[in-house]
Amino acid sequence: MLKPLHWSRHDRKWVNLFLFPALFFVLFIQAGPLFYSIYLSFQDWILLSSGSPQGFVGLTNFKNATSDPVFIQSLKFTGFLTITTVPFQLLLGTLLAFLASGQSRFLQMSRALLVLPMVVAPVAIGTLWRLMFNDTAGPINNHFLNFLNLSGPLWLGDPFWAKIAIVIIEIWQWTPFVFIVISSAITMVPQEILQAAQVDGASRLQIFYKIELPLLAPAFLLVIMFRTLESLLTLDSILSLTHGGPGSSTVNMTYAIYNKGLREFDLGAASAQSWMFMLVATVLIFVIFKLTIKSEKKTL
Amino acid sequence: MKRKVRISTAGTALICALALAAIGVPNSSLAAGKFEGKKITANFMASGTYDKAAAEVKTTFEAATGATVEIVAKPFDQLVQANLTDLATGTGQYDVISVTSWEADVYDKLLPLDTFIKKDNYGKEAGFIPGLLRPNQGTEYYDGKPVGVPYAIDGYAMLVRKDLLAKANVSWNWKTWPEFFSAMNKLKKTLPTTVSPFVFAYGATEQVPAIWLSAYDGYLLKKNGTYGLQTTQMVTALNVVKKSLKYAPSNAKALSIDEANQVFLNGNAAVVMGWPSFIRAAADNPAKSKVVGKWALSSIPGPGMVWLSAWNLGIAKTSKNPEAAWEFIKTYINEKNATTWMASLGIGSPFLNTFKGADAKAKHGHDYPQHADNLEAVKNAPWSFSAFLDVYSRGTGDFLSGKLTAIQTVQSWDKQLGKKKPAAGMIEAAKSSGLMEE
Repeated sequence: MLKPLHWSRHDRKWVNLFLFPALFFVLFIQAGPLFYSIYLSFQDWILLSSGSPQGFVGLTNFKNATSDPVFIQSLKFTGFLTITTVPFQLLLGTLLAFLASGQSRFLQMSRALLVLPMVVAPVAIGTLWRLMFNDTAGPINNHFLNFLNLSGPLWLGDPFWAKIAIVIIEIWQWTPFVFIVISSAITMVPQEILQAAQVDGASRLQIFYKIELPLLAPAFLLVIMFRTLESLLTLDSILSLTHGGPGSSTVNMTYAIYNKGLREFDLGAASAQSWMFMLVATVLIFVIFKLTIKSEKKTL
Repeated sequence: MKRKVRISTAGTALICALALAAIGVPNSSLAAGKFEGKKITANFMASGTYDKAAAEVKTTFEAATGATVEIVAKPFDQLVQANLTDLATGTGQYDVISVTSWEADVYDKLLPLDTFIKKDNYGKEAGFIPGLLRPNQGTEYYDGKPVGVPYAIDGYAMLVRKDLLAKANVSWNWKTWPEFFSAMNKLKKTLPTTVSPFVFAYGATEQVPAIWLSAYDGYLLKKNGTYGLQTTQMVTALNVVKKSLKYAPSNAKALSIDEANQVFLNGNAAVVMGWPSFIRAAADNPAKSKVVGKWALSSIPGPGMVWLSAWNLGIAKTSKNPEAAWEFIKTYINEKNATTWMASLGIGSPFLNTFKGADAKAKHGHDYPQHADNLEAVKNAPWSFSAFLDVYSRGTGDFLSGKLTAIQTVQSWDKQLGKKKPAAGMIEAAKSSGLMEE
C-alpha cells in the first residue's frame, strides 16, 4: 500500500498561501448565504410585507414547520420518492449496464440511446409525460393499457397515481445516470481476475456475486449517494407535471420550501424549513459517505 | 433625390397614420419619435390572447413613437411570481406590468396613475364600463389612487348547448345550484352516453374555488380583517362542488381548463363552466368547434359571488421611462382594440360600447348581452396569491381527492390563515362588496 503524500513544512506555507484566495471565495460565496439563512430562520420576515427582517422569533419558524400539514406531508412524500426510486434506478441501471457491456456496434448504439432521457430538458420531460399520462388521449391508457384490456387510472387526478407518475418519471429519467456510472465501473474491473476465476471453474453468477459486485461496491455507493441526494432535491418533474397536486399529495420538501420562500415570500419560515431539510439530507449522506469509505478500504 | 426622400418620408408617415387609424389609436396621442431611443419592457400572460394582442401593438407603437418595446409573456403563475419578486425586491425588470388582484401585496411598488389619467381624460370619459372603475373591483387601487388600467375583464360563466337543453325542455335561467342540479337531472335523461351534462376543469384545482365561491353565502374576511369563513355555509358550498362532479365526465378530476373547454367544443358536454374569454372565440370558429351556432352564454348559479378576473396594466415605480410606459398603455387599451380583440381573440372588453353596437348584437347576441349582465355581478375575492394558491386551492384539491372532508377542509383553512390579513386595499374592497363580516 502506498504511503499518503506529505508536504514539507516549507512547502506547506506556500500551499496555504496559494489556497487562501480560493478558500476565501468558497467561504464568502458558500458559507455567507448559509450563515445568513441561519440568521433568517430565527427571524420574522415576509418579503411582501417588509423589505427587512421584522425581529427575532426564536424557534417559532421551526415549531410552525412541524405543525404545518403540508410540510409534514412533504416529508412523507420525499421519503416515499427516495425509497421507491433509488432502488429501482439502481437495479435497472445495473441490469442495463451488464446487458449493454461489450464492443459491438449495436451495443455502442444502445448505450448512446439509453443515456438520452438524462439529457432531455426537465421541463420538456414534464410536458412529454403529461401528454403520455393523459387519461383519455394519452398513449399509456389509450393504447398500452387498452391493448391489455385494462382501464387506466386518472394518472394526474388521483393522489396515489399522481405519486406513481412522479416515481415513473424519476426512474425513467435517472436510470441512465446509474447506467453510465456502473458501465464505466464495469470496464475498470481487471479482466485477468475474471479470466482467472473462469479458469478456476466459477460460474457466471458466482463471478458476478463474488468478484464483480464487491469490486463495483464503491461505484454503487457513489450512485446511491448522488441519487439519494438528487431524489431529495427533486423539483422539476413535480413542478412541470403536478404542481404538488392533486391537493398536496405530491408536494415534497423541496417544493414545500420553494412555495414558502418564492411564492409566499415567507423567508424566515423557508430558511427554517431549509435547515430542517439540510439536517435530514446531511445525516443520510453522512451514513452513505461512511459506507463508501468503508467499502473503498475493503476493496484496497 | 431630395424630392424622392420627401415622397418616401411622406409615404411612411401616411402608412403609419393609416396603421394607427386602423387600430383606433388617436394620432394626437402618439407624437412621432417622441420616445426615440427609449426602451420599455412589458409583460403579459402567455395565453395566446393578451400576448398576441401585445405583439400587434408593439409594431404600431414602435413605428409611431421610436421607442423599443420588449414583450415578455409567461404562464399565469410564473407571471404573478415574477411580478411579486420584481416589485418586492425593486429589481426593475419591467416597466409595464400586467397585474391582477394577486399582486395586491405589492401595489405600493406601482406608480399612481391618477395624474396620467386626469391629464388624458382616461377614466369614464374613455368609455370604460363604470362599474369596473371601482377600487379593486376591476381597477387596481392603492392608497386611494389607481395603479392600473383594466384591459381584460372576465367573469366566470356557463356556456350552454341551446339545442340539447331545448330538447330536454330545460331552461338555462338557473338562479341557484339546486335549480341547476334539477336541470342537470332532467338533461341527463335525454343525452346520449357520449355527452355529459356538465364539464369543468376540476383538474386545475386553482379554478375549483369558482364553484364554491358561487355556492357560498357568507363572508371571506372577519371584522378584524383576517381571513375567515362561515363554516356551515362553506361546508354546503364544498358539497356543491362534489355534487357537480356527478354530472361531469368520469375523467373530470384530471381535466385542465383547455381540456374541459375542448370537451364542450367537441360536443361532448351540454354545459361548460369557465372563463368565457378562453373559449368564446374558438366556440364561434367552425374550424375549432362543433358547436357553432348552437351555444349561448349563461350565468352561474348563486347564492354566492361570480369570480372576477381583471387584468390591469400598471407601471413599476422603478421604471426609467414612465411616460413611454403610459403611452404604451394607452396604445394597448382603447375601445377599438378591445372590441376587435373580443371578437377575434375572445378577450373580455372593459369598454361599454363593445356590447352596445348593432354589430355586437347581430353577431354576438348569444354571448355579449349576457356577458355584460354577468359583469354587473362580478366580485374580487380578497385573497393574497399565497393564501389563494397554497391554502384555498390546495385545500380544495385535498377535498376533491377525498383526503379531507368538507368540515376538515374548512378547519384546515382556518388553521392556516386564521391570523393572516390580506393587503389593506383588498380589505376595503371586500367591505364595499359585502364579503366582510358585518
